[in-house]
Amino acid sequence: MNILVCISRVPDTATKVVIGSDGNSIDSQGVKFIVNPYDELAIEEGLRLREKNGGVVTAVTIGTDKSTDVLRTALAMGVDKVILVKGEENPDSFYVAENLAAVAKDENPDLILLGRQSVDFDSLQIPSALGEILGMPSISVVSKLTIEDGKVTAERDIEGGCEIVEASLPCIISAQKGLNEPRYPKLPDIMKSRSKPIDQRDAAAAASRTSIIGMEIPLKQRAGKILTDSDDDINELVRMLHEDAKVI
Amino acid sequence: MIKKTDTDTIEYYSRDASNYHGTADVVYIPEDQAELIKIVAELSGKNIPITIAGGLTGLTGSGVPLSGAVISTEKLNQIIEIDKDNLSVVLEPGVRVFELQAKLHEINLFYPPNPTETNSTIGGNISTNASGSRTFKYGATRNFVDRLKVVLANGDILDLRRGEVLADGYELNVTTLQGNEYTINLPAITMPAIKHAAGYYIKENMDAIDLFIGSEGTLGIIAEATMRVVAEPEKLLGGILFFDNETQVLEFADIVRAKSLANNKFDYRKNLDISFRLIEYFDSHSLGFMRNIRSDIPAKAVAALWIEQEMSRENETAIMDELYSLLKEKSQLADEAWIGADRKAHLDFQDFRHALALEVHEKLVTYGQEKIGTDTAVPNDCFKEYFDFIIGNVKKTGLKYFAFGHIGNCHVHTDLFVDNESESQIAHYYCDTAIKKALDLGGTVSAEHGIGKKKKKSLELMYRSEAIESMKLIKSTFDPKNLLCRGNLF
Repeated sequence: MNILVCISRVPDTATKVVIGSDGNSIDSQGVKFIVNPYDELAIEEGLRLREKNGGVVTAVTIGTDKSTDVLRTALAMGVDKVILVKGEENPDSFYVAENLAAVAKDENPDLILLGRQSVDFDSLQIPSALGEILGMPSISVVSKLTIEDGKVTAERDIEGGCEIVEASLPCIISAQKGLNEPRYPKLPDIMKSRSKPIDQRDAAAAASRTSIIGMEIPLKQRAGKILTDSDDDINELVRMLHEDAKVI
Repeated sequence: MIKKTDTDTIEYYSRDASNYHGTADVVYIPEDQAELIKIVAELSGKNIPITIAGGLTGLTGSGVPLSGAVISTEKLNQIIEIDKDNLSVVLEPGVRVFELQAKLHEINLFYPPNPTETNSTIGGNISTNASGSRTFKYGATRNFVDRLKVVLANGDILDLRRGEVLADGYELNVTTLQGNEYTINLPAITMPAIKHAAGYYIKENMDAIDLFIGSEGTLGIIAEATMRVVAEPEKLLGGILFFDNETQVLEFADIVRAKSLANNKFDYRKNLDISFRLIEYFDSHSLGFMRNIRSDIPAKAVAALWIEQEMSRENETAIMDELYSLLKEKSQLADEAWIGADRKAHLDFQDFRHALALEVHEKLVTYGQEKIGTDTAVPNDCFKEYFDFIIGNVKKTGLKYFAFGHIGNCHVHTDLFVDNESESQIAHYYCDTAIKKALDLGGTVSAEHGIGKKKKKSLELMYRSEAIESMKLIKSTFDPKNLLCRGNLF
């Protein structure tokens, strides 16, 4: 089975994000970058399918030279090959999907795995866009996956329940939490991953269709104030509702 | 100020994580420092004993009241200031360690002392001079306290900055903001030169701030603390290393301890060899516990170590090569080690260690038992002798036990489970034997849990009665009516 896993490099989720001086990107100074957590699920699922059915797992990312770190992490987890498509520094979803499609056409995978979304821009568009460009079935937000005799059965989380979807290979699956528990890399694999080659390719001729014109940090939620049932506090509550909230 | 007198609330504040039980008449929850100062003065004016409750995560009953009032610091939980340039934070006592760590991580800083229980509060950590896994490289809480605002029993305030008030030999003078002067004659005792949390910190020419750190709430109440923090390393490697042989895990621990102690003196970016910042041990019984929670522990594993190594881009390959080749020599399971380099993995490994403590607590609560265990540590060169001694003896008890903890600091806990009074006596007898052996080898009765109300006997084994009497005199100088945290230490 030939499996292509698409991964992205995102800021560590616990990092405090600061907006850069240009006002439309984040200041990456001191920020740690990691493999998008949902993409780790996609990598793990690819590895498990390979362990069961044999085949090759290839990880690809669209990025710059900086993105080699996440490809090395994928190698340490156990993928066989990695591809770096060197493209725009801040691409939009369309650009990424076009470039992933170009790689998919070259690699001809039976299955394409992605995280359900990248936790940086949260567009959730790429799995579906890729399906459209490649003319392949695309099943999003999958929390359980079975592949037998070329038939794909996927469970999707939907509001209040789960939906079971079938498709045939080749197809595209985006991973949701619960699909698996990503493994820790092994020491020898981490060490081997450092010397493995990275297949570097130029970006396909595609252009971003959207551009970021500004970023703002969300306003902090106002802190709640707890009042008791003392007379003073009751008077204070009435005053606050009247003067501060202006609702009575 | 919140005041609670209902039975359910009082019951909550009457128990700590060791399941030690006490009682109180009232719980006060001040909402700012002014309220704290006011209530202390008020209660002490009425001669009402005051016990300070932090996170109630202690293991010796030091936060458990015997009578009178509890003052809980839970609402004094503001991170007042983070000064990134000077690597310092100003905190109220009720800030929980995990909250502080999360806030610091956002800006690439961290607070090195890392007690296993991160629900514990900074006030509690200072009062017990808490330590944890990273004490191996960085030392205990004491090393990170720069300034303390302490409320004394009469409501007076001491503002102590490190380096400003020093003892003259064994005489220490401190003056409160109100202008009252206290003169203390320190006993000439020798503390063991290892990780240690038993009784007051006393040294010739010592800093006054150190007397209050680790005093278990008996001398004053911490209202505010300025703590030192550290920049996060460029890279951090974490791992749970599994071993198939009980002797070889100890050999491996000895080698990496020695290497780390030598190499941790240098800049982590320059080291080309192992310089772990923590080394934690799990014996086969501990792993047995953990198998209830984690199904992926290798079947052949009979022991494990949790390690963390600070690295840079320049030296990571050299360090990993060294680690792998050393591990292969001592374990057939070298390829089964769990290795992680991101925060999620590090927190997973930390949780793995903490889950053991939680699992124990769960069992104790289920069976209504108090924790019986050792908190002893010994100097490095006697560790092998000590470890063989305690494991030999704990096995002889025939009781269910497990051994785990800070093997980097030669500080391995043994915890025992008992079903009845006669087993409890056997367990206590074992603990006493372990303590005596630790003292014979120049070690300590309590490396981190403190004395509290449960381990007073251990303090008496450690120090001569005259030394303990002079510690009591220090207590009565600051708290003549013996109101603060009554029953702790003495």
